[in-house]
Amino acid sequence: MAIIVHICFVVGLGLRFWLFKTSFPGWLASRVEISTPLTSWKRVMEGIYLTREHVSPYSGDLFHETPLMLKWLDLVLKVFKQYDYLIFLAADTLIGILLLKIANLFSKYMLLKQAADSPNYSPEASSLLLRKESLRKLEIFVVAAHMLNPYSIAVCLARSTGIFHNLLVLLAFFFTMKAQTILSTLCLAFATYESFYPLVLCVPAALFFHQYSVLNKKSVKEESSSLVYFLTTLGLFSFWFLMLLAVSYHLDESAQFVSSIYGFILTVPDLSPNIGIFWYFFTEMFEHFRIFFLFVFQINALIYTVPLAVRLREQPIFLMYILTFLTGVFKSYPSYSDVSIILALLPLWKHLFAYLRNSFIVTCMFICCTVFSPLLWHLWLYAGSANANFYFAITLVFTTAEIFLVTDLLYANLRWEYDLTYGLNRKLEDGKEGQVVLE
Amino acid sequence: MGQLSHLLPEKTISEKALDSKRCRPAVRQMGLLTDPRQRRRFVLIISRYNNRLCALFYISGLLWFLGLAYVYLNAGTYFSENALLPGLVEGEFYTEADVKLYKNEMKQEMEKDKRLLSREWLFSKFEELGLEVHVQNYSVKYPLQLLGDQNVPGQNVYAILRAPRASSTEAVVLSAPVRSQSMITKSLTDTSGGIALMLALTKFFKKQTYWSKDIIFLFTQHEHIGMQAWLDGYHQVQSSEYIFPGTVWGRSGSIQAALNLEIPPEKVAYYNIKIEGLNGQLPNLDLVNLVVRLCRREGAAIRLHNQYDYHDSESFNGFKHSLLTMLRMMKTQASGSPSGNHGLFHRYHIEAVTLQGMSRVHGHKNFGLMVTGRIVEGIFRSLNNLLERFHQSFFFYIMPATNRYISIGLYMPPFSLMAAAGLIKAIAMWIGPEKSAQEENTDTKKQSSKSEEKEKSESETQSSAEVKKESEEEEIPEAASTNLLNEEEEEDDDDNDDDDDDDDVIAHDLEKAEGTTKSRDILSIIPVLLLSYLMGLMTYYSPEIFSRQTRQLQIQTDEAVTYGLLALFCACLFFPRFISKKTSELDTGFQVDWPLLKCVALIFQAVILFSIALMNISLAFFLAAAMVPVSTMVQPVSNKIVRCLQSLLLLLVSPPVLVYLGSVITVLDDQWPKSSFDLLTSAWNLMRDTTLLSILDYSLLSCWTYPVFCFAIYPNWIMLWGVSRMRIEGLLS
Repeated sequence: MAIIVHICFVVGLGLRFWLFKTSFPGWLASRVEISTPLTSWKRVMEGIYLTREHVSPYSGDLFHETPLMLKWLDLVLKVFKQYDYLIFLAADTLIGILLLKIANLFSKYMLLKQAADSPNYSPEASSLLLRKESLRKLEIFVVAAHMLNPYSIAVCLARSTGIFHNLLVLLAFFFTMKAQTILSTLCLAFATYESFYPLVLCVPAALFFHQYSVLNKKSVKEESSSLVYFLTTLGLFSFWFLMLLAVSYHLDESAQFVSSIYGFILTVPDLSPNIGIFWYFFTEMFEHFRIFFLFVFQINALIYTVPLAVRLREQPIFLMYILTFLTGVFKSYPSYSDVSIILALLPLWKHLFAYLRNSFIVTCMFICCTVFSPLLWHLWLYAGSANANFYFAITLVFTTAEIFLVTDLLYANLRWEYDLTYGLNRKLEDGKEGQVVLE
Repeated sequence: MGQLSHLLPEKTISEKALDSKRCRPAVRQMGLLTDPRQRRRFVLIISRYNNRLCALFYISGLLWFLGLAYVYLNAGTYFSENALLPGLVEGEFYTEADVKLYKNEMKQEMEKDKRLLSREWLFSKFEELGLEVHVQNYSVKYPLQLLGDQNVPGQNVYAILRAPRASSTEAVVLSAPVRSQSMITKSLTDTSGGIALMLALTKFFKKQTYWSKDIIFLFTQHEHIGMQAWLDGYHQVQSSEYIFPGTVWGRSGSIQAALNLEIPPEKVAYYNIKIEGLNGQLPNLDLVNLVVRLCRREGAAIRLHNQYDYHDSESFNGFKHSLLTMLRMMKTQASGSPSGNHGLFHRYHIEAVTLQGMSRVHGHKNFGLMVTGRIVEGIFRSLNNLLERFHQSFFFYIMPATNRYISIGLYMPPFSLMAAAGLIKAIAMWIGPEKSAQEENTDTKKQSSKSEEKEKSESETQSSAEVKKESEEEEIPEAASTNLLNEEEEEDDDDNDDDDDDDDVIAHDLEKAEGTTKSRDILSIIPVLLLSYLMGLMTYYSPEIFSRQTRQLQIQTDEAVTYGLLALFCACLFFPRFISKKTSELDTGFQVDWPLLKCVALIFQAVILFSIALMNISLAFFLAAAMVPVSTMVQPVSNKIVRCLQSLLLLLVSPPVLVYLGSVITVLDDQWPKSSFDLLTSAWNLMRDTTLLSILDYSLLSCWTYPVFCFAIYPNWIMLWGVSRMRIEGLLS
């Protein structure tokens, strides 16, 4: 087992290293599917140059990295100089290792939860129970899904800073599963500080801490309500977040960065195309509707937290994943880096794959969109023979594919729960075959 | 997301526990993707009728596509861009003396030096006329070491007529390739008439006050290469590593449109309009309409690929005639190399066409340079009216006559039908095992665990419920793993679309490590995918290697490249042997899941076809017409004769044979040869030239035909070849 994981790492890194030597990264870095205004490496270089010239990078409207990230990248670049790709290789390796750890923690957690919940399960559902051996393979799939995933590779090659955002989100996953409240909230705060949307992950984190305490106390009835956990998580999160802002304020000596980052994320002034849904809609819109639809779209990205938290309160990690997925689809500047983290974590739910109904269609849609989007881009902007609608259509299909996948996963989870509770016997009372229908 | 799932009876609802009235409408709202019953019907239709559906789709698509040439199925051209105002003004170019003078002067000049027209002469003539003249010095290094490491120098001359009414922000180009007497062949016609005419036009244009766009008169050397060098130099880019454009000093504004002239000095019988550009890109239809309309206005005959517009287009003969025109246009477009110098402008978002004058040995020669001059004058006065770039009319069209067009909206449905035939088969391959499992279910009680696994993998609720009653204990983990593998496949497919083959290596290792039967299905096809890509990669890089051997072997480069590629192809034919060798080594048997391989190959094919169709519909159409029927039919067979036939069919649609067939058709279309042997040899020669030229075009002009063949069509064909050579024993076990 371990050897395969190692091979994955070596091959994945070798591939990245080799591709960094070709002209491929230059092309990838110019792809809007990978480099958004928030993650483009070109803009980072510009920001670093401006800081070194003692000009505030936030005075223009080009640079949207946080002050801490800027400081850090500046330091690292001073060390690595022209070997900047090593930073990205290292970050990708770190993500791989984190995924490995997450997979192990996840299987432990699932077994623990299964043991606690098993009295509620139907006796007929024993074949559905997770087994240790099958869970042990998770780490291979998770690591392979990251190290050999073309989306991850493309993101790494394009030097997208989205890779650091992913790293922070995964750290949050990791520490949450370790039930280390302080570190987990710190990572959440850091991820939020970087890309804002991980804010919603506070909810599943709080739910998890609550559940973890219940699971580990076993026989003793836990009386303290989840409210306590919500309050502590949110309190710690706000504390860390404010700390980060304070440090940034100290570093930059002005609060300009707040509007340059969070203002930029929330009001979406840059309408250059990406794989998201914002740009096209807001280019088409009359100016006086803009504020209203900004609220609608941003609320759309965050609102799913509440109903899903109610429904999935017993499965906080699944909730966390689904929320990462949804914000990755509906955020204002999505890119393939969001897709890569989603696909890397997907194998964790391989017990649900049997219930997926659209995997074939979704796979085809993913492949087609990935191939067609550069082509339509070429036709639109270089050949001049197509127009923006073509490109938008294909990004819309891509978003639809993602939504199919996430709804399918949610459905699969419901079915799995249902089968666990009611067993696999579908016979109706008259002996005929029944069919489970979602209502 | 609802709160609870309900049990719904399959056929009749007699259940008390279930409120049928409540359940039914809910089902109806769910749509194809979520409603299990609709889905089941869809699956059943596909699995039962897929062969008939494929045949129906393909044949109807093909007939429909060809039928588009019929006058009632396409549309008449019209002007979308109203600013052009074609033919609104009276032609004023009647200075025949100037034309004659320049023609004679040029004749003398060309007699002095047979090899090339003196650039100094052109330069001095333009200077005399009072224009700003510039010379661009560029150099070319030929790829494949055709001329060793030597750089070939070249020079383009161009003159800019500054518009009196504007500030040089926009320009239009009038160009002509400079060809010496020695170069002139049947395909490269004499262009000196056009050059003399351009001089006379310059003199005329210079006196006019209405120009609001600069006019650039451009004379290029070395055909496409010179034009490419000038365009690169003008736009200050270097698009090829073999052409060094040097510095272009004289510049004007952004170029809006261009007209390339290939006019012989004598009177011509008719004009040809050439539209096909690099990679099958076409100019905006408005520009084509403009040229056609202005030729008509001067009473000049204009044709498309030497095909006049049939007088009685509604008759069957009229249909045949326009079909031939359409197919000729599509053939030129499919090759991906430009049909004239205009084709290189398209890449820079400049609309351009070539106007070629055709003189015949016999017959009427009606149109002298004066007529051509007035046509050009009319075109330029219309272009002068343009307020914005061409954008109104179509960019994607096929022309069955000079005044008819088939837009993308018309040709896409029949093409999609043809390509969809492959997709249907792919879906049938994906769900196929489920169907067989269901049939077995009715026949025998006992099922092999494998088919159950397949069945479950579709994870259609209905069928899973059916299976579960039989063996509940085993299948869920199995099903889970199958689906996991589907997921893996998704990634692998993505990988293959990109470039990393190493992923497959890993997956292969994974397979070895797991060593269980259930994981074999998807991982077993990965070596085939990997191999097919490796072969594509080898084909891509090999011409460079073959051409290095030419010196030692004392053979021509084109021979070396063609024979080398053919040898490589023949070697690739034996790749199933590599895989079957493994069968004997491993005791468990190396078994490739051929329906899955075929499914992947067909999906891959559909993606390729649709991608190409977006860029170059003609290439996509010909490929679809040739490959789709064969690729949907291919499957492992035990019967030897059928097997041979199938291999023969597959070979017939293999890339080299397709290229050869293309050459045969070109030769036939050009001139009916004396004997069939003549035909075969001249087609063979043409194929050699074409192969070398496509590689040169790729290196010099970045024409995508060669890499598309290497990285898309060829690997895809190899996968299908793999399916056909699959061992039948594997199927039975």
